[in-house]
Amino acid sequence: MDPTLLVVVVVATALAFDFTNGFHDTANAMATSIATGALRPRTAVALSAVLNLVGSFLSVEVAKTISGGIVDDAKITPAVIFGGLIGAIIWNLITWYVGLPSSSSHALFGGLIGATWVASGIDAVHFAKVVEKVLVPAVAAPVVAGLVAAGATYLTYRLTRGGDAKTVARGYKAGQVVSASLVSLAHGTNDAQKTMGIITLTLIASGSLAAGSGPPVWVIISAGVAIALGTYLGGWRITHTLGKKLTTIEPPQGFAAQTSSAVVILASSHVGFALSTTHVCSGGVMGSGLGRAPGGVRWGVFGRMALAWLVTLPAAGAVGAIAGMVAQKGTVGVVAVAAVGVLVSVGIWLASRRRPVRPEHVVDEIAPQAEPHEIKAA
Amino acid sequence: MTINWAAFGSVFLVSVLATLLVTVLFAVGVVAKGRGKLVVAYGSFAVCGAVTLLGIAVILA
Repeated sequence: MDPTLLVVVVVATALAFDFTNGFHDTANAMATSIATGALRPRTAVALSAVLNLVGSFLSVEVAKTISGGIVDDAKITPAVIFGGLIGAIIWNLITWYVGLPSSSSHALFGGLIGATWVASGIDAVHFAKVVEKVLVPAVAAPVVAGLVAAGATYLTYRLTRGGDAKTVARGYKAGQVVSASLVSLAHGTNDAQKTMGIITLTLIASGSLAAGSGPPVWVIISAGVAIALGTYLGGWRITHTLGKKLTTIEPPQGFAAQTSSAVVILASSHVGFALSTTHVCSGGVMGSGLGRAPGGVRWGVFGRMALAWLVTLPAAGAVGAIAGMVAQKGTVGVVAVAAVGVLVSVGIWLASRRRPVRPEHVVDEIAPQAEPHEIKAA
Repeated sequence: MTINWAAFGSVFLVSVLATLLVTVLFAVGVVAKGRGKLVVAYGSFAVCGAVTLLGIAVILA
């Protein structure tokens, strides 16, 4: 296949992945604020979109490796990247359809692992790194965020007991907006960077950019805009799960969950023990449910979430492996994979229209609580 | 395989301490505001604001 055309296809697919990354992760920052009525749904996603866009311009630290050492970067070709991206996109769409918050980064890693494995053999995959960078953090993130959020929620309800109910509700709604904004900003600096890194490395691999170059301005802008547009779309199916189905969220609880998530995300990115934003935020919401009332979490929903986290890597890997294998067959292969990718995506989207989840589904039953009301003590 | 447990431990410790600081101060601020103790309230919110700025600084770093 014409190398230039392949680069164009990979860049477009990377931006498509970035877009799914956006609406898949809106819930992380905004589910609790929407559920408690601290922000109207459209305001919340607009705020999050703007902060993701701003975040994508803030960080100058571009991902030097796409994979963080999980696969041998020297053995990654544009066809492998393409296969990996298709695997990640399809898995992101499936989990979005069933409303499960799974990590977009893990989907991308999974896709790349699968595609690299079939292209370059099992030796090109560093499984020790997979355990270190994917499996251990996947278990650690919800535990850390959950414990911190449970403690924070318990303390919050203890300390505000006897406080003026209206002031408490209003104060915590304002606090929620600040902590949710911080999560959105951090998300923009991390996740838009991944797509920029992928596009930049593809351009370097094809000889369009000199080795070691930073991302061109058009890459920064297009990646930032793609994730912001995705975020603005809202991802209501996942927001519905995190904001309503996992546990019922009140303003002080939402504040505690979101503050814990923001702190854990920032601490982990600063110290260098990378944790997935999705796992941290989901763990935070779960912990806050437990902190407010023992038995405040719907374990069935959490069980399905945890299962999705476990399956993300192998599932995206399997799709990535098949896509990568076919894409390596040349032009026909790439076109076939692209066509199947588009068909599956459209199919999932059409299926989602049959039982759509809209913003009002996230707020309808919560709406009466959104007015200032008596906060029940734990 | 090297799992950096020390880094993991410090993430946990920093998270507990920073979250504790913000949630306690914010709760004190909210309750104080409801009782008309504005100096205590805004003092608490100011410290929370400072921690938020520190968070933004970490994002920028």
